[in-house]
Amino acid sequence: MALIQTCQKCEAFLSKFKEEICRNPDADVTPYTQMLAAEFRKWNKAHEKELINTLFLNLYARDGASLRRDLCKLEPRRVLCKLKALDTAKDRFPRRGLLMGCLDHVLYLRIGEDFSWIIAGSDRAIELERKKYEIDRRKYEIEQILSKFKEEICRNPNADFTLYIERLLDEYDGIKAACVERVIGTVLLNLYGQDVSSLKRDQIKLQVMVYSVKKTAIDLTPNQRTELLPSLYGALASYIGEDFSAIIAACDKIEAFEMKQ
Amino acid sequence: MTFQALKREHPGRVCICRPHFRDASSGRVVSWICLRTFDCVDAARAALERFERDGVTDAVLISTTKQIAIEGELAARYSRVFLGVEK
Repeated sequence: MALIQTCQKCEAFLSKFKEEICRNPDADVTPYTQMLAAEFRKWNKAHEKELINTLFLNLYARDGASLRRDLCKLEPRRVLCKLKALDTAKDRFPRRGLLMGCLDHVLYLRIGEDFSWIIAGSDRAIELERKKYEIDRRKYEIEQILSKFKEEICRNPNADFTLYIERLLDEYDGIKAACVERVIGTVLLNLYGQDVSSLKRDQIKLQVMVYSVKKTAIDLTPNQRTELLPSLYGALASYIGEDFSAIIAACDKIEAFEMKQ
Repeated sequence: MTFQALKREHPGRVCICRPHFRDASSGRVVSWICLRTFDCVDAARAALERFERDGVTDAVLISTTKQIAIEGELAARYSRVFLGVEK
């Protein structure tokens, strides 16, 4: 969701809360905290889907029609059974370097060159799991912001919202960053497991390749894309399940846009 | 995803789904792959035709709120996939 929309939604939420405070100065903050957390959760989910769509569309160089066609043919059960039967991440994803090459542009835009947050720490899976509950972890901060807002409105009903909108946006930005880290962390953790040295090696190889040919991503043949699609699905299966609707909707959107042009 | 999962994930929407798992004894579809969701049946029907042109011939419409009247060729397809909820 665009920043301006997020901002407007926060403003609308605070206006509603203000109305309640003006009617009842003893209004309880807790239900509003829960409502806002639920909203943040909804926005976060949409952001997560958008990021996953971007990863898939990048693999197909934004060729929506081909991605839709290949997704419709994909058999989730077969892909997951095949992956489950193999022991190591390298066996499961033998062409992970190539896949990284297609996604590198997205990864670079989202997290830059700093993979330290993935590489550091003894148990990255636990760290990613913790990020899943980022909204719950931040509920206390959200409650504090709403309590201060309530105090301010009780003192001055015409008080300016801006500062509180900014503080809510800061909280949401933190939640969003955790969501990005979790999605990308899941992809990298699945592709490379605990094999940090291979991840680093592929990253360096990619950077050399990208800089030497001055490109942002690797060009693939249609066959290579089709071959890599199950790997990307396998790496993100915990998010996608058997629901391709969001990715196919993104394909349709791109196609409709291209037809308009 | 099961019909219950579809209802949970896409409440009030019309989904275009392909069969995923079948019950071995009855052949009935117990799990679906959701390809696309829509607000109304007409838009979903139009998209289903496009999927057919792309070679996806086993997809069906599933409404998570109300039953959809299915006639003609589409009805034959429903009987092939043994969809229990729709008629």
